[in-house]
Amino acid sequence: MMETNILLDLKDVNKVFGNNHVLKNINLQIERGKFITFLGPSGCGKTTLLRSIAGFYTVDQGEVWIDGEMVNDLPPYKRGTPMVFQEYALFPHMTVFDNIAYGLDIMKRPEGEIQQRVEAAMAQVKLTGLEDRYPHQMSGGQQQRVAMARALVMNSLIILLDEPLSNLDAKLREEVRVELRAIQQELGLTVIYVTHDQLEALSMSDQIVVFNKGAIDQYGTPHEIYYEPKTQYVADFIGTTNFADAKVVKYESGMATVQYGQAGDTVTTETSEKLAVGEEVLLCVRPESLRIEQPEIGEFHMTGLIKSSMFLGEKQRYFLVDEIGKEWIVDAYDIGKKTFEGVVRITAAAEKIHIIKKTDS
Amino acid sequence: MMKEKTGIGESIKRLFKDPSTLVLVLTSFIFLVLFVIYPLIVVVFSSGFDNWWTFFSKPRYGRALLNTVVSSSLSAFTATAVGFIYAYAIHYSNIRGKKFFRFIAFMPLLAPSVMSGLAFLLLFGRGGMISQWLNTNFHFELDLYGLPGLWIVQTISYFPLAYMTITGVLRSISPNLEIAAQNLGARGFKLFRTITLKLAFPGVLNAFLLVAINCFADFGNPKLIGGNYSLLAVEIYGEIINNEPGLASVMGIILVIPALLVFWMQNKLLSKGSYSTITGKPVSGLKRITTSKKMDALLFTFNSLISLFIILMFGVTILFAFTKNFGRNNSFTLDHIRQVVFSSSSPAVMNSLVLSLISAILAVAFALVLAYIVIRKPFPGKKLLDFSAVLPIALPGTFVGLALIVAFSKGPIVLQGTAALIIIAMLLKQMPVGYRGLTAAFKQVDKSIEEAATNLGANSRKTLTTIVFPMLQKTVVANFVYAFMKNMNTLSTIIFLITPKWVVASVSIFNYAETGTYYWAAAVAVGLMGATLGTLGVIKLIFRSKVKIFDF
Repeated sequence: MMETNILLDLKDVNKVFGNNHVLKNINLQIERGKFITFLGPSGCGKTTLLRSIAGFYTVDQGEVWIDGEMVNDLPPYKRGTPMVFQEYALFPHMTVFDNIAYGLDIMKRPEGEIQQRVEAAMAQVKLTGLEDRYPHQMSGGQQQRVAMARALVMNSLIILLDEPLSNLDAKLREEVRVELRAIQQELGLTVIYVTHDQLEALSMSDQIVVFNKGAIDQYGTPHEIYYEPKTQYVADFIGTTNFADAKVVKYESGMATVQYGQAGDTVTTETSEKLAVGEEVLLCVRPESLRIEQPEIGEFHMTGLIKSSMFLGEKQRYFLVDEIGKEWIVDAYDIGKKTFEGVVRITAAAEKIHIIKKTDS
Repeated sequence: MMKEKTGIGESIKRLFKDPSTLVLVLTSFIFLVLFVIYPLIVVVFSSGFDNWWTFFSKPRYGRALLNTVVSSSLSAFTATAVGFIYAYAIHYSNIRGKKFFRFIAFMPLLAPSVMSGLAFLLLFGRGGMISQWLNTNFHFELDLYGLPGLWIVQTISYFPLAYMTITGVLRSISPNLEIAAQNLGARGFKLFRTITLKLAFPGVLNAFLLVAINCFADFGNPKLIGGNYSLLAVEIYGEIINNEPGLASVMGIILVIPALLVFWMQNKLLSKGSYSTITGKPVSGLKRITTSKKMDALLFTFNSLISLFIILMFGVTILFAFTKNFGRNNSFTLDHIRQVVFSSSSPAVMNSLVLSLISAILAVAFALVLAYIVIRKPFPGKKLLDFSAVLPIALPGTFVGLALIVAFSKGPIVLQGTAALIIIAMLLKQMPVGYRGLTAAFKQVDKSIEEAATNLGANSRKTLTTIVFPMLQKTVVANFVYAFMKNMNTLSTIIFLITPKWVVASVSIFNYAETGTYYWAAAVAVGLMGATLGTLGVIKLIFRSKVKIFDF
């Protein structure tokens, strides 16, 4: 067998429930030691794919390969893909220790080894001393840690997490995020993490897989996903974005000049898309990339009227309308007491403008 | 466009990939078809047109039907009323001794209902204690045989059933609603009428129907106390003795119809839901005040009288069991107990114990298997299996016994006179209760908990033994205890099936009471209760605090 860095390989995976085509031709390769997030709204297929990897669903078409082995016909208990369930699924009739030791017991590991590995896993998730508690005697946060320890203790190649933080309060969620990422990097684990929370995805992942109605829209680093979304769907799903219709007037080796607005202003920016002159495209600008100030030559700019604004703590968010009635959202950071009103100029550095090809959807 | 593979062909294909499930499904189907569906069909076919004609043309049967309707309606009404007041006193008043009253209402479960009939005869029958006393002191001839006696006995026998059903309903009424009503100015009887009774009504109606169909098909007490006031179940017994299974089948079908109607109505009620399911957390720190001091006194008196009556019934039975001939010769003796409980020539109590234990174990095991495959496994014909598993709950014991004896006394399979048939009859009556309980329990075990076990390497057998069964243990034991107690005390279900070799205690009590050998009847009753309590004690020792057996 060839030694490869690919741990999980999904080839043309399809899954159908009734008439509902939940997974459509999923092709995905996941490298060892990476933190991968499946991101998308509920019903997009991300959990179905996770459960297909764990073996709870058999795929209707395509192949699932784990560590060079085709596992389509392997039942879930032989796949070695420990999972942290959204609702934790702790065994209510067992102590914390017995919960964590369960998988090792099934594997018939020697007593001493079990003891040692369970203790190590408990230390990793900071639960030392709570061995004899029962799940119902613990807080939600502690239960969540037991669920993690139960998966970690298996020393598996891969760990699956199904929205594990969705039942925690906001503050705790942020804490656990940092810890989880630290554990993953320390142990060099391959983690597949399912969430609908874009912030979670951006802050923890090496790579993000964005799902759209059972298909993968984009697979890339958080930076790519955020700043260079491939589709309008991705741009829209992650963060807040301004879209503007534009037309390509010049295209040359990765540099495109586009014309936007009625005035016929143009801007030249880098793009990875292959474009044709005359093609209708979408411009995509993040609110924080826009500035409200006096323009300089060569910048992306327009005139706007501030309709309303709101103070969001670290930023002030403005809602504006430009000359042709299009609405824009602009975020201003570190503003002190200064706020804008009335008619202003909106500008952005050319490199902050991202071009998306128009699709029929 | 891709489509999921569905249909019977696909589910059969899937079933064949999982041979252990296939075996479970097939065994369950064969058992239920053989012992539920087949006997039903045989009964319907053996009733025959001429038997229906006989039934409707002879006034004797018409009278029996009328008597059955009248007496069971009366008894159900009073039993429900008594049960309601008794439960209301325990849950809504500030009286003392609630725990004691709960215990008293639980006591009749320990003995067959025919023991109430026996005790009634010992007190109020010809030569009964109270009748004698009235006669010598006031020259008053007390004759309660027939409807009056039956009415009283069935009220006492079945009020615990009504009490338990209504208790469940009263418990589910959120105190918030009554507190809110009080806050709006309702109090006293107005509060009771507009809120409590209104909310409890569906449950009270359910209790009434339950008691009614139980009385409708009851055999022991009507035969013992009814005298010339003949009831359908007694007529069926007569026709079986006369070897007229066709005529018996006709009456059996008539017994079943109201029971099926009630079963259907209950399911409708259940699926519609009732008001009382809308609840919230009780408002902390607030207590509902619902009864006045005067009302408390009245309720306390009422519950005390009912309790006194029940204690009197148990007391007189025990006195008869342990004296030479109570009332005439009051010297203590163990002879009766020795002769009818511990003698090898009268194995009734021992038979009851053995058959009840075996049947209860099988019933719970079968219920567990059924609940497991129905809830967790896909297979064709699931609805049919579920239906035939629950159906016996709706069938009166008398009918179950009748159907089994008619179906298995001749034809391809003959089981008449075997212990197996008695065990099956008991099992059919109790398995559906366990099946329902375990289905509910299974649904409460979150599927993800089982998946978590599988995910960590446990195959389906390991998941069952290490996760599912331990989580269901409480329900399993509770259902076993319930089935065992019911088996020990059943009379109607097995009256047609027993043989001299396999006579059981409840039948013995009935036989001795009918022939007037009261001290033996009483001795068997005491022996039976002793055996029941002893077994429960052993179960309690095994499971310690894990199971609550005496949940009153």
